Amino acid sequence: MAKAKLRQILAADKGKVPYLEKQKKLQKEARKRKRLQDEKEEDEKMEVDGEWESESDGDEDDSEEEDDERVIDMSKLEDSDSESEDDDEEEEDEDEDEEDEEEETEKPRNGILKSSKATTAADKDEDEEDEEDEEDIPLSEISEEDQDPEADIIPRQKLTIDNHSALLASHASFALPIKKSTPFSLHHTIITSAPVEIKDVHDDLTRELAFYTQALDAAKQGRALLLAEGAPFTRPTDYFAEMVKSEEHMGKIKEKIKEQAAMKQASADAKRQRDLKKFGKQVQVARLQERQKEKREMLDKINVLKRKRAGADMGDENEGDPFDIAIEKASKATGREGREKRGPNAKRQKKNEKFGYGGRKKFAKSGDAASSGDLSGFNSKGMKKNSFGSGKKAKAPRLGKSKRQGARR
Amino acid sequence: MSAVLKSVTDARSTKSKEESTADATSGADKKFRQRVLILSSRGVTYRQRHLLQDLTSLLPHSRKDSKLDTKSKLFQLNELADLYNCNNILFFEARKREDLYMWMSNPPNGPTVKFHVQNLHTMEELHFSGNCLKGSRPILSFDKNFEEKPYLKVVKELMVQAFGVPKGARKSKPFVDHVMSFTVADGKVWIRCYQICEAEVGKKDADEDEEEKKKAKKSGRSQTDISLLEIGPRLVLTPIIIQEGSFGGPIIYENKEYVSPNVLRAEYRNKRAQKFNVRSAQKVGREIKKKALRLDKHRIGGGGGKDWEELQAGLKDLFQDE
Repeated sequence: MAKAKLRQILAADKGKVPYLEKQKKLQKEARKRKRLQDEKEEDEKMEVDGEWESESDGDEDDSEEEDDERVIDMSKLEDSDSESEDDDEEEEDEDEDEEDEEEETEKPRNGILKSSKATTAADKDEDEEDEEDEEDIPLSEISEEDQDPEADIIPRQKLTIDNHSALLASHASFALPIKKSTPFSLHHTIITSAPVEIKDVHDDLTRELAFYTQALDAAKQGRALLLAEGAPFTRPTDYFAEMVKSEEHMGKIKEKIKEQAAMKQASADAKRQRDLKKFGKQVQVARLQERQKEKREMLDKINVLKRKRAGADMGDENEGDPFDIAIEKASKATGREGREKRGPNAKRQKKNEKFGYGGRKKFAKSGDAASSGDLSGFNSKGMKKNSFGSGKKAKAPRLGKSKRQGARR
Repeated sequence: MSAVLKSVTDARSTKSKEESTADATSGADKKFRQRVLILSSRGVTYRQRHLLQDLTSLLPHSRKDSKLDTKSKLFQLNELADLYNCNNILFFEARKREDLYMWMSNPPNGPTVKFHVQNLHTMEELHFSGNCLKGSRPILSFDKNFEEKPYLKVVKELMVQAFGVPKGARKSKPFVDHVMSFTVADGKVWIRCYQICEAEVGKKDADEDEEEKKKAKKSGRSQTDISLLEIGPRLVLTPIIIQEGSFGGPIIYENKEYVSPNVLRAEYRNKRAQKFNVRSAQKVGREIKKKALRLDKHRIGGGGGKDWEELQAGLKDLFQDE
């Protein structure tokens, strides 16, 4: 039966959806009729009663009859006519076991249910009972579509396999026997009390936080359980052993962390600097203005003094020295600037003397009694060294050892 | 009929009772023996290889084997597991140097789950500061969602056996310093690994709630703060199918929401190709329109003549094709 239904569903999926409703109705009617027939037969059988094997032959006939009836029903439909016939033929070929199973499902129906509405709900219960009873059929052959025929009719949905009974059976076959009495230190598994719900899986922060809290809870619980059992938990500080990440790896990580911290620091500094720059520019402008103001004041003072001097003695040609002195008096507070105004430096003074800056230029270079008598420029050693080009130049003094070594290189 | 049923049920109940009593006596001190065979197929990238390395370093009860040559005859793995006395297999199948599938099985007859591995990040590239002892036993933290659906139940049981280091395993250390968390979100299993950091609570706090401290002492707990540091690696697994046998047998679960990466890539490429197709079609259309309007003939000096006839014929052909 299961296959026939599946085929129909598939056919419906292929694009015969509009006929689906009609088809279902007709199927239901067929089922009803079947049931009525069964009731009659059932009554007869119950009187006879016996083992399943003896019944099975008769039942086969019954089922064939039912099938025939159904074919007639189906023939009213435009679509799945031929298919259903095929299916029925196939079914006959199938094991007898399966048909036994069908009978069992149909028996309780006769007794309890007559309305077609409640059939689906009842189907589930019965199937569950069946699964307990049957042993010859591999669990995997019972598919979910058997249990709930109307669940998967939605068109375009991919047919999925989710065989609950088989899954549970296989789970039971290999699961570790963990009970409440088994000590926690044996299995180390903790299941959260409430399912973890994450609003938006693609939001990294919330997702990771959910994982973190889940793990943290587990760690706390596990720690409590282990300590209660007296199992070791904390690693003693003097217990050294190989770690999952090697020293080298941890070093790399540390470097990375440091680098990141430095980057952060640098960016923060840069930001501060930028802010300061904005502020600093204002400061700089203010300072420049102040300087200029000072300068202006200074010039004003000088001008004032100049005018005063000019008013006091007009005809004086030698203005330099007295002016300087007066300036010094006016700006004693400034200090340094005053010194420069004292006049030309010593060299200039000498040159002025020699080459003339004011005064008589004639015969300045000619010798006189004093100059010829002056022997300060004479050096007897100098005369010996370089006279007549005798070849021997003065030897340079021998340098220190380190200098000599250094020179070689 | 009923008698038979009764006898069968009776026999069954007695059987189950026997089993339960046997479990109660032997279960208490019975050790769980687990050994995991970890291996990959050929053609793994360095990242996938590093993941394998990470897993083997986290699981002291694992046995790493050389790459498997075949991708089609996976049942050979059962023999291999038998050879190494392993009762769990983690097989990483790499395809096209980008997709990674993880097979998790419980040979010889347990179920097999095939996962698609996404968002793979190894310890090496993650730079997490957490670290733990090599071979210490993890606490496995499971989401409650694992209990809700039968297929997740199977997945969970497989993970418990593969990732849970059994007590007294050969290379395991007696202390517990990390947690592995498995969470179901968005139809996928997310795996994380954290180090447990314990820190004594400062004395100030202890003075304030001395009563609590006393309570804690009674219960055998000292005042510690527990925090976690992530170790790595990170994985997201999408279950694809569950088979009843080990690398064989009927499929008892199939994920309909799973879309193969190949399909996704093909779709993406098609989408991009569509752009070009539309543009080239427009180009042809424009050309036809131009010729129909004789725009290129205007300059030369009026339509008609030989060119015009040719064009007409060409257009006729074009429309006949369509």
